[in-house]
Amino acid sequence: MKEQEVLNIFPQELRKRFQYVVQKSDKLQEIRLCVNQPARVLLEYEEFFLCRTGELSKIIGNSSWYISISEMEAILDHICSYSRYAYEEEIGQGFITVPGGHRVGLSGQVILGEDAKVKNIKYIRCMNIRIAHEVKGAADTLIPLIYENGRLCNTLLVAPPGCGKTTMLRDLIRQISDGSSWAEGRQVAVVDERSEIAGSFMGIPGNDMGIRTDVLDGCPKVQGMMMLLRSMAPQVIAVDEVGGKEDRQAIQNILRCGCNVIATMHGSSMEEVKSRGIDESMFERFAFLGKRKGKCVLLKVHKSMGEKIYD
Amino acid sequence: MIKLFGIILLLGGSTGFAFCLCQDRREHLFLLKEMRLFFSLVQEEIRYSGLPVTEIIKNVNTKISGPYYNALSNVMEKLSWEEGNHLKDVWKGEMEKVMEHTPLSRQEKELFIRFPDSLGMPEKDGQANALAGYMRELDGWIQELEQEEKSKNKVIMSMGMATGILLSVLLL
Repeated sequence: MKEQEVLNIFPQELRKRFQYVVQKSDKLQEIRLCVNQPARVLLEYEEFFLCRTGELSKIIGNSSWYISISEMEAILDHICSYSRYAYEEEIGQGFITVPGGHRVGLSGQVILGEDAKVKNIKYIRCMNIRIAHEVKGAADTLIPLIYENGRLCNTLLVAPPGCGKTTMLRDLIRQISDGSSWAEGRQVAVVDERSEIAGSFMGIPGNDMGIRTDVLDGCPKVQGMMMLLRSMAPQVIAVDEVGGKEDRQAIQNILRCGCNVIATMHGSSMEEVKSRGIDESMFERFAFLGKRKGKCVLLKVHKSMGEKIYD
Repeated sequence: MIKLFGIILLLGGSTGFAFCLCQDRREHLFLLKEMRLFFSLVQEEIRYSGLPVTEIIKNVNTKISGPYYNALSNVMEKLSWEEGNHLKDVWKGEMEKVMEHTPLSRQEKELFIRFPDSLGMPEKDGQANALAGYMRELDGWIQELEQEEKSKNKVIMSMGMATGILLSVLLL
């Protein structure tokens, strides 16, 4: 299933080259494509070069596959369903999410709008396909720590990029929604701004989000949180990658309404969390994620007053 | 009695031939108008819904009649995310097949086959405007055919009947 999902990212004529790579889809992290450069694949933090035959090599050789402009255009056309205009906003943000929740990062020449904000990207010449991994049970260690006498605590997951924040959040949502031995299932609402958490395609989540989960796909976080609060009567709202004044205000509004919040944030320490506008009193649990021996793990969890409950 | 039967057959045959010619012209006009309708519906969908063209084809298909309906259904099937086929190839294959035995001229067929070439604009308005060129060209052809239909269809029918009468007189 996952193999086919990854293969479907590419147009039919290029799928043969990825046949071998997708067999290792469980270990596959990134596929990096740049015009006039050899195609690279990241398998369990190890870099390989993709050959024209589809095989992997540790060194660049004659058989390495150098991406041509037409190949890059063909991949982009397929990802955009031949309709770049329909992905104007996503391209402007620098990435497109494809079915399965995989994120395709793009770079090229930026087109600025009148307000000097990035409007679009033309001459897209580099692509980073980040493979999403749904790991059921990823939050097994954290789940008992975020309940206090059956009550769910507002929790912030903090980690540097690539340390499994979204994977952890996804599994937390599923377990909170379905219920676990620690608590009954709750009504969860997810604002999935980048379609990464649920991996929705045409409104249907590609990942298991639990039976009591409503997903608002592609909506900006601040607006989405308020919309869901008014319309879906959630007990818990989950969002990815918060930070900044507007996010803080929206979270505070939600907390005032008696709704719980589970969120993630880039960072690695409490100081970084504070510097990004998130007040210590807003969350009751801070879970820090990181890497140990190349694997994403839960490093520590502490309460808002600094009391460590997991290390 | 046999002569009378022959005259009726000659008259019927020549009038029928003229009628067929007129029908071809009507079908030609109908096909061009459906083509024009397709472009205008796609343009509207791009402008107002901003959906990808694969989904637009699905929405538009129910509003298009004639031979294009089946062709668009086939395009939809072959263009799914899972299939990964190239729009240009699928479109060309299906449209060539469906337009093969139609009264459309080579130029008109090529215009419709060229549709995927117009895609690829980075924003909605630009993409919608890119289709305007096709519609302008079609409008010109439709106008021409409509004017011809009014005048030439009558002439063709009259000529058909006159030919029948002339042949009857000559053969008698």
